[in-house]
Amino acid sequence: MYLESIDSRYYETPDGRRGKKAIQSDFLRRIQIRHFLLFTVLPPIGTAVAIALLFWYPLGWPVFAIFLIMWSITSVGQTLGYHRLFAHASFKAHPAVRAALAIAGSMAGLGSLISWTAMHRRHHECSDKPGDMHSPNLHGETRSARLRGFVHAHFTWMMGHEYPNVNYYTPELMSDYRLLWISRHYMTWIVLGLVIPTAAAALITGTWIGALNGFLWGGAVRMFVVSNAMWSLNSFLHIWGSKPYKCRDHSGNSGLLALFSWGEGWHHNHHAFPHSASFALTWYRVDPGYYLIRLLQALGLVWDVKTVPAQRLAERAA
Amino acid sequence: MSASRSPVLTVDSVRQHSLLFLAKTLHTDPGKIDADADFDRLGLDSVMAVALILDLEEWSGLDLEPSLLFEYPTINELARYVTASASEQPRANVA
Ligand SMILES: [Zn+2]
Ligand SMILES: [Zn+2]
Repeated sequence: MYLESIDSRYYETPDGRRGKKAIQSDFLRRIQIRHFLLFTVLPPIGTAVAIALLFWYPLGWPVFAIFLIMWSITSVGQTLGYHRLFAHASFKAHPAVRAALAIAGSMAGLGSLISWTAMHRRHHECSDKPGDMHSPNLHGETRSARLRGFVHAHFTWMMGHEYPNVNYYTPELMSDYRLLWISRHYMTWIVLGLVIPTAAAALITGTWIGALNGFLWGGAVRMFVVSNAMWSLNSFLHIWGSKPYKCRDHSGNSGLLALFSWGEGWHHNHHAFPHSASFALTWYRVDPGYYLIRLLQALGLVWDVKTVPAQRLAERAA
Repeated sequence: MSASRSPVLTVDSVRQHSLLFLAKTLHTDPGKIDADADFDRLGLDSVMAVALILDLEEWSGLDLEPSLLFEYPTINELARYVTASASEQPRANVA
């Protein structure tokens, strides 16, 4: 499934049936548009309001702390949960850790666990080739085509895209009823991710404006920041960035983005070695997500952490 | 049926196949699922609704619309529709 991409449209079962790898329909497009308006369009509006409010009500440390905590929880849910654990199985985790990461990742508002994982596996399978839902490199070579590709890859692709067959891409998640249940309650987790910072800010500050700021900074601004970090991997880091290993797509690395995305910025490394729990691959690159995996491992909460031996890194050096 | 590429499509076989799929995803016994209950009431979301349709497509070799579950919102209605449309369109997997 992760080998050379042969046919991005159909798969065959061992007993000779044929199934669709992805579908497109008006019905799905309506769902995608609604999701786009709620979680792609509204957070930047909320962010603008949050910044405007600063002129009247300075951001106190409690609200800023709430923002940082919610940013950490949902970023970790994304990179450790959705990405490194569920999409790539780069380590194994205690069921409670799996559930916590799945819920924290859902709060980011980037898609339900199963949909996101299926789309992400398809992204790796087709990377920068037809079938990749968010490649910036399939729009043409002129300057305006490159720009259109960038905007598409960053966020407009979400207004309507092929939807991967979850039976094909995520069979093990489809037969894990706990994860399926969490995935089905995606909207609940998003609402929880908005209620928690609002309630926390209300309790700490004891004011209505504090509650509003908690909602805006712990909810809208946090969603805006986390989602833009993740989308930058698809846009910036499939165009620019260093490419230290042999890899058949256009993915690149950014150490700077890695700092703001818990290690996700090592996107080229990740495409070259998708099953590695470490995106940094080496000690001298900063990968906070991987440090957290190591910490959880020391606590006995995760195990079988996959890494790449130095010799294989050397073999793949570009 | 041994490794059958083309299952016999009857209301009963489609119902049975759908029940097994839903039992697995809802983590319950196929016998406990009401084939006349709305998919909404069974706890199906759009992801699972589409997954069920894609699973039926692969199994039957028919081309089915992802939105079918909204027009035929129970297992029995869906099974009747799928069986009826089987006589109207060619099936990909029939050897
Ligand atoms: Zn990945
Ligand atoms: Zn990528």
